[in-house]
Amino acid sequence: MAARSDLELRRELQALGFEPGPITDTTRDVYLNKLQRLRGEARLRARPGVGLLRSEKARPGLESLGEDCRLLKMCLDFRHGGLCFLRCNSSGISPLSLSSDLFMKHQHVQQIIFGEGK
Amino acid sequence: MTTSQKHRDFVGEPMGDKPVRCLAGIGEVLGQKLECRGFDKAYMVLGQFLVLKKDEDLFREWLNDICGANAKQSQDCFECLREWCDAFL
Repeated sequence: MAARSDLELRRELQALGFEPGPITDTTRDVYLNKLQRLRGEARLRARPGVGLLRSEKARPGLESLGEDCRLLKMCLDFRHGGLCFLRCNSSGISPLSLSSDLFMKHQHVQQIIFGEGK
Repeated sequence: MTTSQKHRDFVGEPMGDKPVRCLAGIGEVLGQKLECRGFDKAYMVLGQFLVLKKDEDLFREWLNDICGANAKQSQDCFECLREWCDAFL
């Protein structure tokens, strides 16, 4: 990793959607750590299924995400531009697309993903 | 968020040649470590803050790496520099 040139480091960060400042002797290590974190996040996003969610009965208030819906599974779907839920209703399973921002702002979902008290 | 008197004193005027220990979150111990690494003036830490594009995570990580600042110290220093920039840049 240390053999990577400043230009290569800059391009790798940019490829992951991050625009770094000047890469110098005093910033290089910070940006190398940032690159590792971004790669880890990219690997997580690339996984097709992240895990199962409990039904809304276990968490009062989740029904506000969609009437007659039960959250079955959280997954990533780049075609929908972010986090996506599969929901179950009378017509079967269909994708319910949510932006990352909306997802993060929903308190109950946040508690499920990150645990109580966060 | 409540700020310290040290924070208010620093943010209230141009930093000029103030020593690095005048920054909120930087006391005697961290100040000495920063000085040993060449960051003897507050404006030098400001320079690093600006080079890192005022990014909180990157700046606080750098401060922890270079002088061992803990979470509160790095947050105080970050907020001190951010508010100074808002006032004077």
